[in-house]
Amino acid sequence: MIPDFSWTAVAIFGFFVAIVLGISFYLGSRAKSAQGYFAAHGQVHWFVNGVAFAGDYLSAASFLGICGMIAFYGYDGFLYSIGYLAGWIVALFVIAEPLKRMGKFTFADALDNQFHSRGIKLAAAISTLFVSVFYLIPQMVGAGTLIKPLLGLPHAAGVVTVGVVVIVIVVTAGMVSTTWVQFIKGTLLVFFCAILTVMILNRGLTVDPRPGDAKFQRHTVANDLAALTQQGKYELLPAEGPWEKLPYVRLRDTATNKLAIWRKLKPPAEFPVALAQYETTSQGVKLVNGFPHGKGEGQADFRTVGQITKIRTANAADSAATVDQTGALGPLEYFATLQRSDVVTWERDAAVKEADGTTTIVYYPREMSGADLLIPGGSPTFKGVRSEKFTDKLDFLSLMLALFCGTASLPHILIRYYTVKDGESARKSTVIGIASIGFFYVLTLFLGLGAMTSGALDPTNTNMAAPLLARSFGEWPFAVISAIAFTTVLGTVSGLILAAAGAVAHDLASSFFQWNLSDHDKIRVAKLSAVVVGAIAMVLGIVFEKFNVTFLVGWAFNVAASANLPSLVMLLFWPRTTKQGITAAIWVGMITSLGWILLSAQAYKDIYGLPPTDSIVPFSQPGIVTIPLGFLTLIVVSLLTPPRDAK
Amino acid sequence: MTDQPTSSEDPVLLARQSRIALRLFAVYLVAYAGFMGLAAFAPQVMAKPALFGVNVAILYGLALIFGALFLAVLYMRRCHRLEADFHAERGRT
Repeated sequence: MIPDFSWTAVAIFGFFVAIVLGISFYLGSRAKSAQGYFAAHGQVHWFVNGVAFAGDYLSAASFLGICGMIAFYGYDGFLYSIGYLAGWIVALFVIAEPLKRMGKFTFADALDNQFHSRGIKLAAAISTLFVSVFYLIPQMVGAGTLIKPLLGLPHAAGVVTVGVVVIVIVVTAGMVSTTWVQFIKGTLLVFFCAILTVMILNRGLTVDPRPGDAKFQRHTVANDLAALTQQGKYELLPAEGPWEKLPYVRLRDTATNKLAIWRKLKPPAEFPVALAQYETTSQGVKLVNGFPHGKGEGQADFRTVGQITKIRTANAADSAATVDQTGALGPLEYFATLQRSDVVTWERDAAVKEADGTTTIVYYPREMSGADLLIPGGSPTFKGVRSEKFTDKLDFLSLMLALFCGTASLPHILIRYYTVKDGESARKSTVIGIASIGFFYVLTLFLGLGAMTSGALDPTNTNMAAPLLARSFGEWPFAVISAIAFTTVLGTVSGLILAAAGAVAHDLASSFFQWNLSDHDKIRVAKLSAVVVGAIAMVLGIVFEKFNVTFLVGWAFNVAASANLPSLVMLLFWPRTTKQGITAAIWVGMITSLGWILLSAQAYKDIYGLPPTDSIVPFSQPGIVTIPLGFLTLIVVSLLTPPRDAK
Repeated sequence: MTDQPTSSEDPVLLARQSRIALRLFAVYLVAYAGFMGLAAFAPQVMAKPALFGVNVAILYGLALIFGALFLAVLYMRRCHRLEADFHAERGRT
């Protein structure tokens, strides 16, 4: 869809950035020591740190990706919410306090606390860099996705804007400014999403969210469409070539020569059909629904979608009890009503390539029962849940395991533990983090379902669901939510870049290469690394433009959990752990999980453009294999090497 | 006396706290695994309306989120009490 330019959104975002940069420069003049730069002097109050956890953790993927996934596929986005939050239980009960006691600036410090091994420092630093850069990609892609509707600028402009602002934040005052950016962002995000949720519940559900817009309608080929073709108004195109096996009916308007594509809903008996939307590209010319893509005279853009078609006030069996709108609903009442109703969601079909080079992408409506949308397994990512194949179920369990284990292995989360003064503060701030993050994830369910029924969705872009939902309430909510979403990217990206910079300056330069760096030099190395990592992230953010951000984040969790969690846990609970065991576990976990991802069906499809069935690994998510493999490696190697007290 | 570990660093206290932490962790792990097991192997249970016409999938999901917060607060309070008791013990000896 072609976005509407919003000056209000630009002004609000500009205001946020000005505040954030102002704080950065002010604090930058005070952070002189390495302790100040990497760990905010260990003086951050536990409450501020707790909210900053939320600001660090709730990434663009959480906000845009999860809302989009719920808006288009129902419950499945919420599975991510559940997994992301559950990961904090691992952080709180297993990792946080010991990590705080053992380390100084980075989690490599904690791993290496008793060993003073360069091997551990190197492995942990590489794993930190790797996971951070992997995690940076979806954040940057999110920034690019947002800039289009926000400023009407191309994808790359969004990526570069975020990259530059974040580099300035990290270079000026390191962890001090990063903490405040994350605190402000966390507060804004949770607060405004709560307001939006109240607005959604207050509006309730309606079958006519945007009066005047075209509604979803079924027709039967036998009656309506056949009658139209017989009158000579429409010509039925034969289902030839690539169209032969596809569930579409194509009608050409004989007067205007425009093509309309209809989707067959439930073949084969009665052939009900519904109007789909499409874009064709032929010899470099792009048409949308038969018209040149644009908003002017004689042009067309995609119609907004997402609509409830039937609201039942009682059980589905009693079909008479329907209403057109519900009025305000309570939170649980909202779910219950939606569960009894029928909803139209949209999906994108694979591109149809014809012999003359014309490519058509069809976006088609599906009429679903709310009950079906509110259980797991509706989305492509989680369809394995409903599959009969055991490996498909393993794929799902593997991702949920990676989310559970990944949170407490993310370097940009772990470094926040060094900003508070002691173990007790680490514990308290985790509780605050869980409260704000958990509350936010409950809100995402309402935001996603609200977007699903708002009639405001862009069928071509799932990541825009939350801002477009806000637009259905007016320009102001849209501007505020877009600006916050953009600020969201800033908070997470600064945490990631800082984690990567810390790994380079502290773990690699001063510990592994054993450069003799003064505090001042160490900060300079860190700042330089921040600029380099930021630049790499910008390039990758542009290259990976078309990727679904949620999926990329899932992969980052897999790598983090496989590489880092086995060492963190075993070091704490198994005295026989050796430095060789830790080093080997990090390398094995990192390499196998990454290798698995690169060989997965998803990578075949999205990265290499090869048929996904050619993939040689049985399912896409490596965690369920590579996390235990990391533990096994650590145990075997530790047993084969001398224990730590044997000199 | 000055090089005595501070109370929050004392190994005895840390061991007690860590025991509570692992127990609570086990509770949550069972709940989380139960959810994933139901989703993967008994999806028909997930679809059943449970309370107020809302299905098991949503209620269980919400329970995992609110449950995490409940356990976190419980843990914080237990640790706090352990520390207070520990100080009291130290005071007597």
